[in-house]
Amino acid sequence: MLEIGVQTHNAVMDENPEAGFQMMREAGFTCADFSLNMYLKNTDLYKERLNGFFDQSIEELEQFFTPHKEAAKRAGVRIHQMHMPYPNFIPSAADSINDYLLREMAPKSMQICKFFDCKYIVVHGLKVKHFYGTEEAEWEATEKFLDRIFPMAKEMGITICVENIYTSAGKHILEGPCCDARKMAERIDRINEKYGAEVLGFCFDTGHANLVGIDFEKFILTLGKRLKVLHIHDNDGIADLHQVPFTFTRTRENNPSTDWEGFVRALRAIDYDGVLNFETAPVLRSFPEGLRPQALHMLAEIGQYFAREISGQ
Amino acid sequence: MEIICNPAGVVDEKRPGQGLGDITAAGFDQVLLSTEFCCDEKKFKSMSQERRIAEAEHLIYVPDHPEQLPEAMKPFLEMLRQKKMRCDYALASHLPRDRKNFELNKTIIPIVEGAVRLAVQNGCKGIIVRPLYAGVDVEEEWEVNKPYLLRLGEVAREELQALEQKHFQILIENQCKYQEGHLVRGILSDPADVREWMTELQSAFASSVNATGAGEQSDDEVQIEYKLCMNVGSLSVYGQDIYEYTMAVADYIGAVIVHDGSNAEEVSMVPFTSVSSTGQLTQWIEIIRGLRSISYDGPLILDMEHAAKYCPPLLRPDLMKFAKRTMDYLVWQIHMADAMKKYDHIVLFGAGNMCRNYLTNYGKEYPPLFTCDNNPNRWGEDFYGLRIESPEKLRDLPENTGIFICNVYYREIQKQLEEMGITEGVEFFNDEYLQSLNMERLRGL
Repeated sequence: MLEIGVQTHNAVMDENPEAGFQMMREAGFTCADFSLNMYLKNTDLYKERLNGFFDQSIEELEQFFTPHKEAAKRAGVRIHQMHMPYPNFIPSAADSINDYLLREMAPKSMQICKFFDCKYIVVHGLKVKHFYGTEEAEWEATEKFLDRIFPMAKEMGITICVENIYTSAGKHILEGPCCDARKMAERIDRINEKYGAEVLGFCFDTGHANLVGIDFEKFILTLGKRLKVLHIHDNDGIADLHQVPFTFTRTRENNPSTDWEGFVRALRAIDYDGVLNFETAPVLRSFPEGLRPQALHMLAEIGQYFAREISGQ
Repeated sequence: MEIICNPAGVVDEKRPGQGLGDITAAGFDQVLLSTEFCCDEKKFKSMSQERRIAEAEHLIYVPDHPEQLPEAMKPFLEMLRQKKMRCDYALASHLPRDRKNFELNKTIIPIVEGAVRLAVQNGCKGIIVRPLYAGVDVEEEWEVNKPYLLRLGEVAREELQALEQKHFQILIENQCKYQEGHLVRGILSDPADVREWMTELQSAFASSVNATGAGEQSDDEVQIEYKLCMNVGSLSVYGQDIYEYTMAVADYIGAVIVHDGSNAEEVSMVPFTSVSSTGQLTQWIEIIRGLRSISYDGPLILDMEHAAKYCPPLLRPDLMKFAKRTMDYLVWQIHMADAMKKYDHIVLFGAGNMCRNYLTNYGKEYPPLFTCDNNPNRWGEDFYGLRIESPEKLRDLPENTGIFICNVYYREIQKQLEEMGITEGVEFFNDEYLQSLNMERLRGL
């Protein structure tokens, strides 16, 4: 059976990581998606605020994360994937900020990933199409960024995974970087061949795909084995809510408006053998503290349901 | 570029004269020959109720009597002739998106075939049709639609032969898909599918013509062409990147339908009118950039069904005029360089971002002699290789020089020029929908 994972954001706290990992384990998760992005938040980055977290040496960072690593191990939770801080390039920001993201944040994120013995790190593509004009030019910029960390990935045995993300215009969510499965499949193959290692893979984000009307089944089938990790979450098709799957309906019949059946069929068809990972941190905030373990438990149950459906058991 | 108005929402089945009059008065000279006039998707929603209404109002209920489609369309066609309006393109009726019953396709197919015949008989160049989607699984889309679309081509060919016409287009519209209330990517939303479908249909149609002994399609034979009708609203509702789509399907586009709308349901509004507190809801920059990049010059069809339908009738003529003005503006944006081509020389008025964007995008092909600015402190300054002069210099220009106003205070500057006695050769330039605008602005920060 496939393993089930969930992101650590809102579950694991720095002051007591033990409690968070234990709660995850008790709910039924054996894997974690470590939310490294919460140590350099996007909300701060867009305001060009660097909090100094990645100014620390790698030794200091490893020391900082040692309690987390040990707590996860004691709880029986494996850090399967992590999320690099994003954005990793801000078009309007000073060069010094973008240099910092490229030269400090990104390589240190890779080192932290290695420290956790984590196999996958999810990275956002650069959102610069609005400025550069074409998706190809945008990908070139992303590839240029990734080229700086691909050698580290090869050396460390890590696969960097880009995910399908979105952009917006006037509160309307629009297709963003890495939303063309055919192009991404070609790019992944080309880059891995160039490096002679699986340095690049894909993270399929169900919520983002739902927002821009991507056909889950077709997208996953096109990616095939290039699909390495998942961000499973749900929304109403309008806003990026990161909620529990099967939550949203938009008709009187109350059928889910997200294509979970297509998702399961496609994972079964490609014989997906990764982790069913939920990116549902808001669930842990929207439910009161007294119900958070139960909310997590429900997510794990959904994960187990997916696992059974995918494996046909 | 032909501007065409879809009469949906404007023209009423019982009294088409007023709506067509509003369209004509607004300056449109073309409407779609739309069989939705007598058979819109509402007719398929509560069929028994619609049947009763039709009976009570002595109208033909077309889903039950597809053979009477020409009769049901008569009032519309007669009024078109009275108003002397052209209808170079037709639009076939379609089912509502949420229908899951495959059997319903049997009802729509004869209506669409009738619409194709009607289109050819009325001299249309092509007809916009939707693929079949009711109850069609993703993996069956091609298998179900291939024979259907080939049959439509055959129907058109038969009619063309009878009328001794030579050429007709089957324009297949890209679809969004109804997924339990959520609109997602549907048939032909993937550019690769567009390329495959159009190529395969064209080739299969040619083969079928050969197989029936009708001979290969050649210049002196009837030509049936399969093209894409790109509906930007269907792409926009779920947020597909329209620029990338346009570029990827450029060779296959036969018509373009534009409308504004919402991000939650299919609504047809006048372009640029759907906004939130933070901006436009439709990516007009991507649409305009795309159509400009491929030098699109085919039919541009306005669908403003819901805006017109829910506009107070007394205000509708004004709405239609605004809609026509909007379509003219879109054409102007898409073909902005046409204005530059008219002149032997060009000068600019304005020495800011817009002037810089002119230079970036058009400066090499249409180099200006100079630019001017009202600020005397800047006269003589070099601005990205262009000398800034006093507006007085505009009094002494070579023959056939266009003055392009590169400043958003268009009307004030135009008035200033008029006061100087300059009324000829004054043009507007606009950089809102240019490729490099945003990066240029960033560099300027």
